[in-house]
This record gives sequence, structure tokens and C-alpha cells, in this order.
Amino acid sequence: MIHSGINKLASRNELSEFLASVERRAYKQGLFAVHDEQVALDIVQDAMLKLAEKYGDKPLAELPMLFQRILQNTIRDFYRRQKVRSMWTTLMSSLIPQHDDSDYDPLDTLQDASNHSQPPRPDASLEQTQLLELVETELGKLPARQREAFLLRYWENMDTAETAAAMGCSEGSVKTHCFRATNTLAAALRAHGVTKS
Amino acid sequence: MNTENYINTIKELLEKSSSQIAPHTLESLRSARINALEHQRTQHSVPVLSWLGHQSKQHESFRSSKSLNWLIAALLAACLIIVASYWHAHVTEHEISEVDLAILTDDLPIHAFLD
Amino acid sequence: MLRLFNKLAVMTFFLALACLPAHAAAKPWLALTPMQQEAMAPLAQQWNTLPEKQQQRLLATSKRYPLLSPEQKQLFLSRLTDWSRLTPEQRNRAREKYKAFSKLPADKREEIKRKARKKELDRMPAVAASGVAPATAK
Repeated sequence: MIHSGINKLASRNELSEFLASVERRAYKQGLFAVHDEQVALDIVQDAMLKLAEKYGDKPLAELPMLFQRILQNTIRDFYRRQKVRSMWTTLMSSLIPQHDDSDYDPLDTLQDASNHSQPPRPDASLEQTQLLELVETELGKLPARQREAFLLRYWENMDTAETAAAMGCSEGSVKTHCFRATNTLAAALRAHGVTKS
Repeated sequence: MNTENYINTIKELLEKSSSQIAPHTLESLRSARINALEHQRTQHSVPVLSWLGHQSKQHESFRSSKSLNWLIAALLAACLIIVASYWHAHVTEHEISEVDLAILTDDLPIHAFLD
Repeated sequence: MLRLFNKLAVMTFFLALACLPAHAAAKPWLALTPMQQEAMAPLAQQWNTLPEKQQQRLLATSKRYPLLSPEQKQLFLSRLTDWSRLTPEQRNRAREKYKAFSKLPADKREEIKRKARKKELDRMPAVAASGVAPATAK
């Protein structure tokens, strides 16, 4: 987390570096929310553009919070625009995040054992792969606010105040959301056999 | 704390996943980033600067044709007024000739309609 | 698309301008058609001295002259001179009065006509007696 005391306007370079540092996580956040690669990309593009256009002249220190706020809002917009999916599709599609055909029935892939739509994960052990899939699934199933709070706090490494600013809620709410999200994720991991002393 | 360890595990896993994004997706993200930079708002820029840039060429010819369009619109209005007044006069004259004929052929004498 | 519109607009403008001098100039008596001359016969002498506008309006009434009955033609011709001698303002006022009169219900109009006939007869007792009343119909 950059706590810069410099208030000068972010240069093109600084903005470039910031966006480069945040784009992958932003993409993943989108993916957790909408379960759709192309839509997630659109979300990130949208958010980046909005940040640059509206706040490209802000100090570098303010950009992370501003970007996250824009990102969350953009996710919410896109999420609302998506077709209402059947419960089946919503539940199952988080297992198969690569497909962007909204008419696609995840059952087809599940039944077709030879058709693995997951890309090969080169340097991951099987256990890690399974764990990752689990975490991503669980994150996708979280209520939006809980997921937001969790990811902003622990993945974007924002403090409570900044997270609250990005989410547009109180710090108390942020803590509550994080607490619940963490418990749900921990419970899922524990159920999968992951034990932590 | 138990939960904290879980959080760390999750963080690691998430970091791992973000490093495993497909190359074509990374390329799309990069293009999005560059595109956003081109639209960066700076102290001296106006929002939608590039949009203006695209439009400026059209703008110039448009500005000079704008005054021409005003002239044409004024001419058109003028001739509409002319035509309208001509038509109105025509209708009025028609009415007058009807009344004149009626007076000249009515049962009553003309001076019945005089002061 | 805009160029075409502009061209049309300019053309229309000049067309409209061409409409302006649509009033014909004053017509000399000899330029009238035979039917017009018949209708305007009482005014033959002074025709060329009449203002343009008056000539136009008189000729406009003469258009329907051929369609009148013989009695109506008689009436028309007998009143033409008096009519042409009125001032334009008098003619305008007469037109207004006639329009108001024609809007009255039929019975009211008949009543007025009866009164007018009576007046006429009273004014010209000698003429009435002889049965000749040039300014009034039966």
C-alpha cells in the first residue's frame, strides 16, 4: 500500500504502473462476481477508462481507493445487466469459469469428462489446484459485499478506512463483512481437510 | 489466530491464480490499460479529449456550413412567409368576390348595406 | 444530403419571389374578353380609369356572371354602376354587413327583406305603382 506524502498529480507513468499492478486482481475480482471471462474483461476496461478519464489528475496515493470504488460499481452495473440465470447455472458455472456462453448448460461439461475447459496450471500441485478451485468457487458464492470487503482488505491490502471509502460504507460494516466472509471461506477450507493450527 | 492463517492461505492461492491468467487475457488487459492511459485526464486536458480530436476535422467544415445553414433557413422561412401570405390573400380575394356577387344579385338593394 | 436540401431551399425562395408580382397589371377595356365586357358593360366608359385592384375584383365577380339567371343578370348590371361609385371603405363595410346578414336565420332574413321592400315601395310610390322597381326584386 503506497502511503505517499507527495500530492502532485499522477503522471502518465505512475498511472501506467498503478494500472499494471492492479489489472490482474481486478480481472479476477470481476470473474468472481460475473463468472464470465469476456464480461470480466469489459469490466476492467471500463473501470480503467473511468479512472483515467475522471481521476487521471489525482495524486497517486488516491488512485487505489478510487479505482476500487469504480471497479466495484462497474461490477455491480454489469452484474445487474446479466441475464437472470437459473440456480443451476449460477451454482455450476463457478466450477467452469472459462465459458462465456450464457446459454451453455454446465451439465454438459460436467458429464463430458474428457472436456476439461480449465487451462493447464503448469507449476501447481494437484492439491493446490483443487484448493484454488475451491477458494474461487467459494468466493464466487459469497454475497457481493462480503466478497468485496474481503478482497479489498486482504488481497488489495487496503486498511479498514480505505476499504470503507472504496465500498461507500462504514468501517464497522467493513469489519462485519470481512468477518463473515473469512468464516465462510475458512469453514469451506476446513471441510475440505485443510487444517491450520 | 486460526482465521489469520486461513487468510494467508487464501491470499497465496489468489496470488497464484492471478499469475496463471491466460496470455490472451493478459494481452487484453494490457490493451485496456494503454487505451485508458490515452484518455488520462491531466491538468491541461479536457475530458474526452480524443473524442474531440476525432471530431475536430468535422467540426471545422461544420462551423462554416453552420452559418450557411442559418442563411438557408432564413431564406426558407422568408419564402414560406411569402407563399403563406400569397395564399392567404388568394383565399381572401375569393371570399370577397363571392360576397360582391351576392350583394350585386341579392333581393335587397345595395343601400341596405350602406351606412 | 444537406447540399440537396440547400439547393431546394434556394429554388423555393426564387419561386416564391416569382409569385409576388402575381397581381395582373391594370387591363384596358379592349383587353377584356367578350364575356367580361358583357358583364362590365355599364362601366365601359370609365373602365380604363378604374384602379387596378378594383378592376381585379370586378373581373372576379364577372367570372360567375355567365352562370346567373336572366333576372340575376339584370340585377347585377343595374347595381354595378352604384357599386363602383362607392369608396373602397364603403364597399368593405357593405361586405361586412352582408356577411353578418347572411348569418342570420332564414326567417329573420325574410323579415328584413319584407321591411326593405315595403320601404322601397313607400319611397317610390310612383315607380312601385307602375310595377317597375329596378333596385328590388319581387
